[in-house]
Amino acid sequence: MTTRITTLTGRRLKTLFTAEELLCLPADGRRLELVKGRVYEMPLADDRQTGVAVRIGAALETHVKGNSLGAAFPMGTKFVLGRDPDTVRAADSAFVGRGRIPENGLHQGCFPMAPDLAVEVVSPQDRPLDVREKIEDWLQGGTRLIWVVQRVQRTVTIYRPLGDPTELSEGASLDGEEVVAGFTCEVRDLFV
Amino acid sequence: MASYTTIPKRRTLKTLFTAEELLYLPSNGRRLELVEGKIYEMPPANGRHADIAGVTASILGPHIRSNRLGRILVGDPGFILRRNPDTVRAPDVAFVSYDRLPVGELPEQYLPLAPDLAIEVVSPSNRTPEVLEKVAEWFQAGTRLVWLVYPSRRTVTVYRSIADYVELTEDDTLDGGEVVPGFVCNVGDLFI
Repeated sequence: MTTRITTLTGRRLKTLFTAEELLCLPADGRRLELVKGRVYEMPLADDRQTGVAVRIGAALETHVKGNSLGAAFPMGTKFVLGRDPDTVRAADSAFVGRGRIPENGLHQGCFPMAPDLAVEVVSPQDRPLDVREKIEDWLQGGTRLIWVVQRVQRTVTIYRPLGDPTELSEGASLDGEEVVAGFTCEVRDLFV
Repeated sequence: MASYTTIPKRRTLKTLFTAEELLYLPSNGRRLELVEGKIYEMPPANGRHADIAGVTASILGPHIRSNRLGRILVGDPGFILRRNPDTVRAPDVAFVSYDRLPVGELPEQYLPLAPDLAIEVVSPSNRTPEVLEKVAEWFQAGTRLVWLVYPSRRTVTVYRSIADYVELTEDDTLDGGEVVPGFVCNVGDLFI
């Protein structure tokens, strides 16, 4: 940012937005995210991507509800991952533990902090660089477990705050670890 | 309006905004305008500026009301001057005849037209090229008369088009011409 004295008095081009401003923008079916204050329009999920997100979301929802672990969030729920400049990301599926859910609940489909688990379903058109940046945003926001589902390769890559990512192939089974205690799901079942 | 054909295949930085998006943005005390899709923020008006805008509206208002000519709009009224990309501009005071906007309740939206008369109080912080750009935009959109009020010089520059203008000093008479028929006042009356 260059600061000149004139920029303080005259009009100023607005390039940075806050989480609150993002939520005020009418969505019109678009998917908007905020990355360090800048608004990005994301590609719409295709049917197969939505299918995977819905299946994993339903399995999470059942497990989380049945065991009173917290809340599972549907595709498109936004999470505030950073402030000043603000970063707001939407998950394909997510889980927040019981202890971290504020009493006043959800505001306009946006959760004020990072989820404990974030699920990303990657499409062929997603650029690897964008996916990596988003994983970094989740981790910096405090997400403890990230499942990146590659629908074409039929694999799931698991990211945690510490350690290298691990990749699960179709024959393996996905585990909620200590984040979603007791949750398991066969990787192949995501791709029926 | 976003249609499916405009949904990007990859994430794209959103740099252009629409009038509808601007409408829903919280202003946080700033004045927001849209120029060819880009949002500009302006500081709130200073005391002298707001005072003169108020005096101007209160001198013009009774004449317009008693002759049933139209409406005086104050409070940074937003006018949609162009679409795709959108331009939404707000003068300090606007006169809109009943020819352009018939009697009745106005929608809680920006008005999709240009005012007959746009009055701008020019602050020292306004840069001349920006002021003239705005004058040009009013005329391009169909405004018939623009008054630029200069508190520091105690003058009013009357534009009948971007090329046809005259500067009036304190002892001159300001008249509404064909746009505000019958209106006359002393330029000095605006600066009491």
